[in-house]
Amino acid sequence: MTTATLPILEAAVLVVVAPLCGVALAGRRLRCAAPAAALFAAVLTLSALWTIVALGWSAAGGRTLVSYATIGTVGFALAAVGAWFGSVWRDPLDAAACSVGIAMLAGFGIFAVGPLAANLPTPVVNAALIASPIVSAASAAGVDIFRTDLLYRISPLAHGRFDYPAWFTPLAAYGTVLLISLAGTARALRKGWL
Amino acid sequence: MTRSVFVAASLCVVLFAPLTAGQRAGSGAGGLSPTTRQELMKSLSSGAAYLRAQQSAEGTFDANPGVSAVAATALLRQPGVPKEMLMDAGGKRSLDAIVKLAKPDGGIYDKVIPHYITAVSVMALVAGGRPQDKPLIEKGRAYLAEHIWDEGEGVKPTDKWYGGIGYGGSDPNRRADIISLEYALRAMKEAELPANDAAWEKAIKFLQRTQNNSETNDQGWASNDGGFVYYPGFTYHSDGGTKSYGSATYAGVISYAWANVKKEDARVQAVRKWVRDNYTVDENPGMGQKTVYYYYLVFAKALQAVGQPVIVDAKGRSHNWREDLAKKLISLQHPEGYWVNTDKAELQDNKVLVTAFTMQAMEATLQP
Repeated sequence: MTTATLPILEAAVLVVVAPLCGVALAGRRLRCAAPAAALFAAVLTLSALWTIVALGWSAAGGRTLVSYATIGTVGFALAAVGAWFGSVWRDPLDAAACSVGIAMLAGFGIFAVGPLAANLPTPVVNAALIASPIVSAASAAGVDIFRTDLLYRISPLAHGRFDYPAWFTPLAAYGTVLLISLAGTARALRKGWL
Repeated sequence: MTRSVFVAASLCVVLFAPLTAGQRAGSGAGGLSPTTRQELMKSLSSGAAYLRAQQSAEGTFDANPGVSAVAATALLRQPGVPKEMLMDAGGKRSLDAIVKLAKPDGGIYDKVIPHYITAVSVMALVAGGRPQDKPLIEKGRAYLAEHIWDEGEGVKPTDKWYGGIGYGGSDPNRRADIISLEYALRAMKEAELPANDAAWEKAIKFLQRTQNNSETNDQGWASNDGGFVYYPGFTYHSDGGTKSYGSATYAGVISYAWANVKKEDARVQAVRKWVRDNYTVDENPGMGQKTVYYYYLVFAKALQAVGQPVIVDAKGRSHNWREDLAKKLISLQHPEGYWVNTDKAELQDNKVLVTAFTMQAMEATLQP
């Protein structure tokens, strides 16, 4: 792993961990939400600082900040989805399975479709790229992830037409998911579904 | 210039250029027959008209900087049409759009695949020939030469990537491939990078390690068919393994030519054997129809560069490659003027890109 790939790895971990954290927090009626959010923000800040120091501000400062802003928004959004599902479902295992399943579909779906990706229309591919936190984090960090050696060899995507999302598109998309999920969680907790 | 004047001028070229050109090269000497030449010029003119109709007001094609530069190059090199006319018919707009992409480090690109986009952009600027673009051309060729993997990036001469070039950007993986290298070398050659520049020798190292020629390739996987693979130890040949395939091999032939390797050199002789054994204009050998139009482009440029008008295949049959390729390309043109591949890999479902590749292949076919 190199410094440039750190945000990609962190995004991949978040796809699984963030919804689970959200479900766990919902089980405690979000009592630990504020410290957990502060801890997450602190870890991301440290990671971003370390990346900037390693790569240099002039070389990658702006890209690193955008990349970590994307990761932060994605992390909060996926945790909020987990919290929403955790506050609606009685069984936390159902909530965990559902929220992690959705997050993994968004995160890894475009990689998992394999050769089928070659036949997908470009707008569908582009939408899937926006939905994937891994692609979004990589793109924001300036990493052309589908033309890295392994993916270029095994994925048909790099051999067809696609456009990486502009940096603000995933931020806006996951920001919207965050707001909707927070509203859903608040409504569920008010109604006392848990 | 009005559209009608341009159309009239193009018509004159179609009608009269073949008559004069036919006197220079007859098909008997491995050139094009006057009839084929005339058909080829007509086909080129129709392809150029199709491309011009696709250009945006900003001068770009398909909202893609790579496609735009390849299309601009094809149009600016349209044979038989005065440069001034070509510039007025959208050439200036194309070049202005390319110039806007220039970066302080010499690269000319938008966001992704900076090496490839810089290479095709440099070629377009060279084709335009405007004096004001010369500084950008020189910076662009220096950018490409600097991004060839070498000691500067911590790559030792013993490393398999040494002398190669990849797509560029923030790709954390070190990689290179022969197609990216061919584009870079072509741009460096057209931009007149001096023949004694160290970049050429470095590139030759990578080329050797991509060739199936165990006498000169120090990689353990190398066999002896003489052709080329995508990068050392990896091929896109449909049979897998490390078998050589068409587009990589002609990219290798032409890259050796750009890098000033002599025709008599053992490496060139080895690849000529592959060419004889696999001669065809019906497919990209080893890949079928996949990327066949890039194959046509490097096929034409390579054979034109090595100055081999007739290929004698493994069965002893002689082929006038110019005549074969011209007839094939003419037969593949759609009535609207464009070409497109039935296999969509590598953007070859893009009519603008494929038409531009084909026009450049035709332009190489017309050269002596």
